Amino acid sequence: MTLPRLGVTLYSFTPDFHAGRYTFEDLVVEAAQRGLGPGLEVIGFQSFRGFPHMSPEVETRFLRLVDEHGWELSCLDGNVDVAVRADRLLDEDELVAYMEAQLEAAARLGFPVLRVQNQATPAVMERLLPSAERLGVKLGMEIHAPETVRSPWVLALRELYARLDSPYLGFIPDFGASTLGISPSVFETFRAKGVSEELLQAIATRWDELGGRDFEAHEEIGNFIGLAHSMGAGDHAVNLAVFAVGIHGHQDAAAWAEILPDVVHVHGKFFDIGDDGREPVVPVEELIDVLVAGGYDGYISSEYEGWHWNTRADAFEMVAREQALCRRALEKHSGAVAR
Amino acid sequence: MSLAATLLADDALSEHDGGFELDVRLNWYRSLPLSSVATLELSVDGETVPRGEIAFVLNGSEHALDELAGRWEETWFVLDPATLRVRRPLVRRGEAVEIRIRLGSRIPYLLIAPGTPLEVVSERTRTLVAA
Repeated sequence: MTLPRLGVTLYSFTPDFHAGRYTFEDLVVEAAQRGLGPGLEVIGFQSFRGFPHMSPEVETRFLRLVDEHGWELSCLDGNVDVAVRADRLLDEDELVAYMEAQLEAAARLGFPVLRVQNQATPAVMERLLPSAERLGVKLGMEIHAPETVRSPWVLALRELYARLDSPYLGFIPDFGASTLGISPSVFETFRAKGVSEELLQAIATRWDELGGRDFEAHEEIGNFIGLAHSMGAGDHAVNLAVFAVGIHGHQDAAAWAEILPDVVHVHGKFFDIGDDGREPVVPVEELIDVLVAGGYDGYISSEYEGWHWNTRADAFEMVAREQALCRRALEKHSGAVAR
Repeated sequence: MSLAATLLADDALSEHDGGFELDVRLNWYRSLPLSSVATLELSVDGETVPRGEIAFVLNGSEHALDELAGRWEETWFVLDPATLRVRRPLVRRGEAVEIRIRLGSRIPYLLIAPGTPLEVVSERTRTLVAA
């Protein structure tokens, strides 16, 4: 049995990069030196100036670092910027062209997968497929909280995938879609900012209620913003709503099994690893059990996202802890040490 | 979302030719098109600078704020500060002023309703000494 391999997305280190503590190239080196590979995932529009039309020098320097530090390229994150214009959405032809440029960038760099997002409709995905096949880059549709394998747009894609039956069409589960609750550190942070206990309780209760029914993500974020405003959250309302609904999902871990044959990459999203080595709300071990049972042998890319509210944690340390947790879960399956 | 803390660097403000320049950082984790700049408000010691008096300088070009909506093919790289150029004498070299900036970025892949992208608004107030 081949086990999944570990890796990291440099998105985990966004505050370090944004504040200038590390350049993109520094991050590639630092993450390698801390043993956070072998899989390397980057966001095109974050890491590369001029993306998707980088200069040859930028590409060459990046690939040399990848080579020198033993990275394996796992996934390039594209963005489906359907609202790039302020006056109207891109039409289908324009969006296909916009994404083809990102597929080509992935191919030039040697990434096996381009992450895409749900603004790429089934029609767009079908039209991108010939380019993906020609370039040898898989299209990985991210399924991110609060979406699930049963969201209507995911079901539509599953139908398309079944019809086209191409290994170049796949999904990228995000572990944040399968959480047990809102991270305790979210509540601690907003409590410290003076948000009332009453509101935090109301948000926790409403989040629990959502687990029992279907909902439209954007509508529910709007409802949470309304709830937070009505209880005096002021400027914290939007963040609270996005953190609650937008990155903590309710899907059962076991449900990923439904799409596992089409999974081309995995976002090992997490928010916090305590001194006990555990993630309070992401059932990492259970998720890994599901992946392994379904025969998934691609990358699990650690994605630390607690930095949105936790401004003190060392993201490198967080990723190292989370990967230790992943390794323990993987070892259970083979007795061997996962690479 | 914690990126609002980096909107204004310590050395963001400088006096220039009877006016001033303020460097503003992007409030999102990745580069965005200039057309994403949906809200930009600036005040100095409580005095609001009229929108029409703010020039937005990036990638070597100067734009009126109202022109940004049409600049969707130009990129604001995530690490580059944009410079706001104002010709009003509100700032003197070596003196401290309170700067308040409000930046709203439309996120082009996150729609919150059909046809409507999420606007992430960040606000920062800092006392800065002009160079």
